[in-house]
Amino acid sequence: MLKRPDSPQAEAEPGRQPPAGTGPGAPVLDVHDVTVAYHRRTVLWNVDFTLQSPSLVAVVGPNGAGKSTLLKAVLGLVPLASGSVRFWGEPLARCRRRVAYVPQRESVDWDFPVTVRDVVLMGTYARLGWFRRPGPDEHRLAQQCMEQLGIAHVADRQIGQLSGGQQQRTFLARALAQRADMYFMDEPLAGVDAATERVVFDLFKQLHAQHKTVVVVHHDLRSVPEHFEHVLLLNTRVVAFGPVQEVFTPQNLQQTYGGRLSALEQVAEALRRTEKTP
Amino acid sequence: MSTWPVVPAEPIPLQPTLAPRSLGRLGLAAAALLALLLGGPSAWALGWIGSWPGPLAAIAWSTVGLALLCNTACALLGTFLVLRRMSLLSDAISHAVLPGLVVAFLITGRLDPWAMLAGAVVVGMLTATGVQAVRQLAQLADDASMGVVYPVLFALGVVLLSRYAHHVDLDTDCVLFGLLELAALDTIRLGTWELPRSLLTLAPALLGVLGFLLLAWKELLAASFDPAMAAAAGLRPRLMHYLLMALVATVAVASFEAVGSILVVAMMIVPGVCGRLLSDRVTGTLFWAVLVAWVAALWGYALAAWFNTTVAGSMAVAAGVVLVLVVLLSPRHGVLVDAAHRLGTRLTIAGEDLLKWLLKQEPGYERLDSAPQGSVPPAEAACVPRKHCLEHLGGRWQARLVLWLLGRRGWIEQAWDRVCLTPAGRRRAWHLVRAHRLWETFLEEHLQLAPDHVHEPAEQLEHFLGPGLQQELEQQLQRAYDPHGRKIPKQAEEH
Amino acid sequence: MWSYNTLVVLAGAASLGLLCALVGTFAVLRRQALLGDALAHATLPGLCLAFLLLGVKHPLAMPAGALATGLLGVLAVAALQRWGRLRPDAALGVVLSVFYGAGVMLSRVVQNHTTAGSKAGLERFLLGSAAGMVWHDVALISLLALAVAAVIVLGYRVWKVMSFDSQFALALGLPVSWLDGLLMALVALTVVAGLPAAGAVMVAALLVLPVVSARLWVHRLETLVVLSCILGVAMGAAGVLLSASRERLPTGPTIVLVGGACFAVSLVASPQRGLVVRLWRLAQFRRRLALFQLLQTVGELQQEQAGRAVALSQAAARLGWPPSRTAALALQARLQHWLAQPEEKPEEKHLELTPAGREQLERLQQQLAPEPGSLSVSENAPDGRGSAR
Repeated sequence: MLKRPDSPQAEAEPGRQPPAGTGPGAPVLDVHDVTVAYHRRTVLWNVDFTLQSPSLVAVVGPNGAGKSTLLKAVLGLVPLASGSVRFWGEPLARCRRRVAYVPQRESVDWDFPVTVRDVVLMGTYARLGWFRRPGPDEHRLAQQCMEQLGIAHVADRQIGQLSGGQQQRTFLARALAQRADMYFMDEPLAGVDAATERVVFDLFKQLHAQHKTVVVVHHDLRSVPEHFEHVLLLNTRVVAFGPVQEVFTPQNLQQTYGGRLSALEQVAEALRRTEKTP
Repeated sequence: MSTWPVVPAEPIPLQPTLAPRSLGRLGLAAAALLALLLGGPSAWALGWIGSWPGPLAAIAWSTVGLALLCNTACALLGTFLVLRRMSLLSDAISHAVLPGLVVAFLITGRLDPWAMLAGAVVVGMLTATGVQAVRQLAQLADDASMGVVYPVLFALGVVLLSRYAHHVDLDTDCVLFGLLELAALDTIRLGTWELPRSLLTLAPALLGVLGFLLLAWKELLAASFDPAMAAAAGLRPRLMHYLLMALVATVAVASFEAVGSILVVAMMIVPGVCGRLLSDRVTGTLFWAVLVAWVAALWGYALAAWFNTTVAGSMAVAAGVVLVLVVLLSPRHGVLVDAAHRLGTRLTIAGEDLLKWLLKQEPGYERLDSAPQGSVPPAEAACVPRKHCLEHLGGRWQARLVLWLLGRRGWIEQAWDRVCLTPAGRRRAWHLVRAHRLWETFLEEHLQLAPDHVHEPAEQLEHFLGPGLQQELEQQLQRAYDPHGRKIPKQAEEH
Repeated sequence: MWSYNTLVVLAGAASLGLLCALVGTFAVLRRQALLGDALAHATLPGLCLAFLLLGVKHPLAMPAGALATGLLGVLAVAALQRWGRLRPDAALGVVLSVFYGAGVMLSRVVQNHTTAGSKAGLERFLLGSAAGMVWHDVALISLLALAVAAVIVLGYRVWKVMSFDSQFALALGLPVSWLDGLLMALVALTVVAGLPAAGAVMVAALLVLPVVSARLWVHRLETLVVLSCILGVAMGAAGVLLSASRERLPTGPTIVLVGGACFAVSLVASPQRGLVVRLWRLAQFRRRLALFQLLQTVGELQQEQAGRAVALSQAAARLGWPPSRTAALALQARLQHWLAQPEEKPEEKHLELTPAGREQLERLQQQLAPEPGSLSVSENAPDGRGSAR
């Protein structure tokens, strides 16, 4: 468990109080009319939603719906054709340190000569600033994060020697080491084993208990109601956004997946995921 | 022996090891051989050059020293290029620097080192961005866009040179091959010191590289491993990329006069590749890369002196030789170690199969197999003619090796022309029978294979079942009989 | 008007362009663009060795030596990737630099052995000298081009499958590795044939330039092959003419520069992927998007204010745009009668959405972001969902 003495959450009103330093009542995440286009193709169209308080958010939609692009757009990794994004009422530039990003597992070269510990330590780099090296504090933090995700026993292995689940846990431990207040995760559950899945969902719960926000691009529709509070149904545009029990309805899903949400679709999803597993 | 697709050629690491993968005896032997092969000639070269008459040796040392400076800078930068899978950019940039030099000369009208450096760096950056831009705009593969950009820039440089600056002492020969052998002679006075002129460009370049690595180490590491995360965390991966490119161009220019662009390319790619084969850490990779670069410098100089030829070319060749040695003998990823491991696995499998076969030749085997535990006394050790054993193994040189290895482990005894199982060998054989049947049961139960399909894969898998996994499998299965209705021997029965 | 010599060189360069384009098309499609480069550099030690062994410039031994070490280089690239766990880029770079270094080293040895200036030889190796071509060379290159064309035409369907989907080709039972080997042999022959005329760096570029330029204009393989051949011939011929017309313009680099210019023009002007078209499309997209946002904002504000007209400054504030940009766009919309300025409020510019504007809003949305499904799927999908929104 990570304790943070300088935790931005005010102790008096846990959960519903915006972090210190921002205006009272400023929404945790405000995505306003975001449009993203690659060449001539619109990938995201007028995506507009506001998350008032810390929550667990699942981003759900068919392949090519722009889910990953939405995360990248929110984090300023792809240019916006229009729109704006605010965290705690402020632009990204002023609160980068409080936001962590977990890219898709396939996006990096797992043959890169670093160990699990090195990767997790990278999570602390942003807070260190230029010129400073990770010291004992950072190493301790990294060790904690690895223990929390159950990968401390492989800490000194080169990352290519890990299983898919361990690789994903490494990424999550790195994000944890960033000690952010908001986490954006791109398919953290794609192609992982059942044990890792449990660990990841537990992690979500713990983060939520600490009033952090976790936004997850997710593929397994069945586990959405159990593990998430909010859901964003996305297919280029926002089909629906809100609390799971209100929004996660067959009609909305039908609309998101264009009527193709059948057994076949689920099977295709399952196949796609097994393909990703190396 | 038929192969089953799931079984890898190497033994699966069954127990997670806490420490980084230990090298093993084979790895250590490879490491020792590699050290000998790299160190021996280096020592000889040092001694040989040292035995030259004074002034000649002094020139040699200062030439080697210059080469060391240049190679170190190149190896450090090149390692990152190799790790980022853009090693060919060094080739592209070092070729494309030519037009930058020429344009800088045409603008200033003289061979001003600073202007030329600036021109080269600008063109180097242009190449890096140009390759990227062409790739995106024309939707080309990486290599194709590089194959377009750098020859065109190089051609531009050649044309500019031969049309407008043909009278200048800036010939392509020098740019490409360098004149390292003369670099030590071209000295300038600095106070009381007489220093090679190239030192004044090479030393700052190396210092720049070292400074960059020390100051921006973690940013560079994060940007190289995971640019998306680095960007999201505000670690400026783009800036890192362009700084790296600028440094590559700077080093290419600083060293082109002394060593030429081929050596720059060779020293940027080869040491990094060697380093990666020798280490699984970035710092280790850098360390070995620099070492390889030094060895190459020494060997190259000796080679050039021996054959009376260009130093730069010889150093590139020496680097190639070192690479071949490393590829063959790397303790972790080397071809020979891999092959030895594979051979070891094959021999182990053949030997274990022979043990099982010997067990089945024992007269009491069938009764023991079907009877309840402990009711049948262990049979007399059956002895089989050696000829039959060799036939069973396929009768090649490997068969004799297998028999010899089994004898050394104390699992079989060879008397006259007969081969007998020892008690230890019988235990081992029963262990294998047990593993085989456990796997068969597992395959039937968990992978839904038909009983007549489980034998073949189990035959492969039985060799990969350590005690820990065996116990786990047994607990999970909770079955006394395998899919063929035969009893799975318990641990105690093996004794 | 042209001397006999120029004609020979012209024919030689044109046929070389043709040969390179033919082979290069398939090499690039098989993602082996830079292999030609590595191969070209790897021929140098062979040339030197042949010369060292025989002591003379034998017309057959020299190309044979070049071919031998060139192929050795290609094999080394493959072996380093297969057994040395090297990435393709690193393997290419290693072979390129080490073989070339060996070549430079040997060439100096050659220089030591002979009095002839081999320094010029090295420069010729890199940059070529087309002026030295004779009919003999031209005939050889043309024959080779014919042979390659025959190989390609005879096995056209096989090559087509190979160049788009080698996995599929493997599944069809085609001997993919043998065909790749054949392609490599053709590349090697081409490089060796082109080496004296164009030089190492340039012949590698000639393999790549025609096909990447042609790819910007056409999409089908047949037209791609034909167009890249035309471009290859044109590059060769134009380069030779240009270099013959000026002094001190080396032929090889000039051909490459012409090719580079051709590529640059294609990059800028290609009707589908060109820079101009793309920038135009991007600008259009931006304009439409801005217009859409303006109309939408005006509509929303109007609704919030119970149908009253919207002040320009209000819309600008909501959109977060500078007033000048808002005003310019509003003027555009007014000229199209999508926005109207009501009569009763002359003091500050007020706007309201016209019925035509509402239609335009719908249209823009359809253009900019088609409803998912309405792009490709059948007719019945859009109207059902269109009304739902």
